[in-house]
Amino acid sequence: MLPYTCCTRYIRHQATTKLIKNISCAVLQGTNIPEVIQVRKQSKINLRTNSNSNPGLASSIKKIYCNERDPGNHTLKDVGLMHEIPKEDQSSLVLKYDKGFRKKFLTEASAVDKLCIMVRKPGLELVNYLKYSNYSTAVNRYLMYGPAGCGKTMTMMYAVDYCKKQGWLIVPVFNPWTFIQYKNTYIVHQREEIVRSLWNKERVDHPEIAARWLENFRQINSGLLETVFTTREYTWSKHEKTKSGVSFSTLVDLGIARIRIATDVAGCIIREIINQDSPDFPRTLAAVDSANSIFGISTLKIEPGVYLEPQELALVHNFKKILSNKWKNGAVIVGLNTSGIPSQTKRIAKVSSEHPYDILGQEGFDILDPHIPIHVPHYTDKEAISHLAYYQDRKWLVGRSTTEAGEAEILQICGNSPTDICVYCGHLY
Amino acid sequence: MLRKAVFNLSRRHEFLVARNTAGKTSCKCISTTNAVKAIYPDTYADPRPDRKSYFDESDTEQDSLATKMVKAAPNTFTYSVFYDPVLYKFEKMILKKGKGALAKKILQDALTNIKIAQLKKYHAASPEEKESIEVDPLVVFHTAIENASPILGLTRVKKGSMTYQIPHVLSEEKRFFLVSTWMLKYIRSNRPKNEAGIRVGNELLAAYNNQGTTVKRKQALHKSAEANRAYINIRA
Repeated sequence: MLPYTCCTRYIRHQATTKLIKNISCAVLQGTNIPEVIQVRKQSKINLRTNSNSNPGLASSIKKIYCNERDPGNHTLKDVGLMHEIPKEDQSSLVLKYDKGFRKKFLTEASAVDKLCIMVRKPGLELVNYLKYSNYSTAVNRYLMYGPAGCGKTMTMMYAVDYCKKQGWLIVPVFNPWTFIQYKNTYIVHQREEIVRSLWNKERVDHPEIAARWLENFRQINSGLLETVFTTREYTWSKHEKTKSGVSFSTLVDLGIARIRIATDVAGCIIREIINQDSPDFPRTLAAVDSANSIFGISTLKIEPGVYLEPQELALVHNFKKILSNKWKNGAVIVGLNTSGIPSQTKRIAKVSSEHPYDILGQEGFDILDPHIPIHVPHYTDKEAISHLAYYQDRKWLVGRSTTEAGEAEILQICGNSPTDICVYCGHLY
Repeated sequence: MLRKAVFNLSRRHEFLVARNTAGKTSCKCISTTNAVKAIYPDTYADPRPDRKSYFDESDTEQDSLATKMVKAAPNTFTYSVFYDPVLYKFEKMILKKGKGALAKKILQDALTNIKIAQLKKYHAASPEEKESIEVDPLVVFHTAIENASPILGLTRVKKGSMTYQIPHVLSEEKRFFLVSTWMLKYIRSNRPKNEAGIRVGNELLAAYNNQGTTVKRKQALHKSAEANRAYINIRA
């Protein structure tokens, strides 16, 4: 409960920072809050800078939500406002398995009755690239990097929301750690199986995980799957065939009903997307989060004592194809993740740097080599205050944290990192 | 005997001074243990964890802190806005085997779960009912403890061959102690189906609504105190 200590002589050992001094001197009524609040020099130390009863800066903000529903029309004036996702769209964006959003964010959203993403500069940059690029040539790849907990997956979901309103086809790969990690449970029927594949004998299948991925694929592209057709005949085994000219929806239903074939069905979908010929094929977006897991080490064993490499897994082999730039009429968004490394595995070491070369390794960086990097930094001062204003509007913060002193304390402890504010304000009053 | 005791105390005091001031900044601290409290003379002022007391104090020349010497403060004092002495005490009751971080985490999870449960009710209610729903978890915590704390307690007195149970008024510290021990004993008793934060939060919410096992136990105590009210004046 007690974040920091002071000694008795408060006059001599007062712990002041830039933010505590500056927030008291900013203007309250009606004018805009600047992005970087300037430092003011103080000749004498004053005990009465922050009051315990007056409301702080965040309660003076009047405009919190953005009026426009289409992310394509957002401008630089909308930075700091919250973009709301209504309940009709939530059923297709919040998936059943392997969600893009984090668990704590979703429990908060269910309590507060609204799901909001903040409009920030890296999000506007991404959507601007997607609007004005040339889709008759090879695919562009956008790589997002930055410190941990600063909003890489949230900008990815912001771009996915834009693409859905334009009518694109989406391939969601939000958590490839589930393919690669061994789940250590003592309940036997919850363990997941690995099987040798029928397509190629050197590779290994995940039957249950692929069936879940196909359900996700069906949920996120609700109406589009009936308009896309295959161009080749496929033989799954001796007695099972599908003819050409079949829609994607029947393929997906086949894969879910017959789990033994599910990974091969996923591979066929990706093959069709890469080798597309007809002009009626919709544009596709491949959203791959935590891509550094594919180029690392796995902890699965098919024979005792021998660990598998991720190249030998069929799902990983297929998802690597979509990261290449040999296809047209689409886009690829890649995100990195260093904090999601599972703690059970001691073979994977945690990386402390932010640069994508250190995280991906030589092989991964070569595969993604001509890409467009997007830097996702910490909050600015204006965005941090608008985050707190959103919480006060939804009654998540009520009472002592709305005062000047409470705000200054929150911002001193959490700094400008979004996840720290989200975690710290959960138990506050 | 007295001289020897005083000599030993002062030696221990010097040892503590040397050990505690090594590496610290030079302020007027002498030592930080409770055992040495008695050595402070009367002119020393108490340390204050509350920010408001500095503004409310009358600042004359004789009484101002700039001229007085101040006793050393324990490590747990802060000037943060979110400091509450009752919450802090409750956290220490949850503590086991010296694991302070785990006790802190359990309390924080309990407060979030209270907030989430109350907010779901708030956003689903009509605007007339919204004014009566309390969303602040600190207020819920304080009212829950007030609802579940007993006023009267029973003591056993033996007079002759009979033992009588006599009701008497409890002090505030004893009331808080009884509430927290009853609550935590019930939470730790059965085989756990949930995490600790969820169990503490559910029990506090039930006490806020005058339901649950701790409130029942308090009501049983009050009933037996009323039944024994004839024996109030037996002490002689």
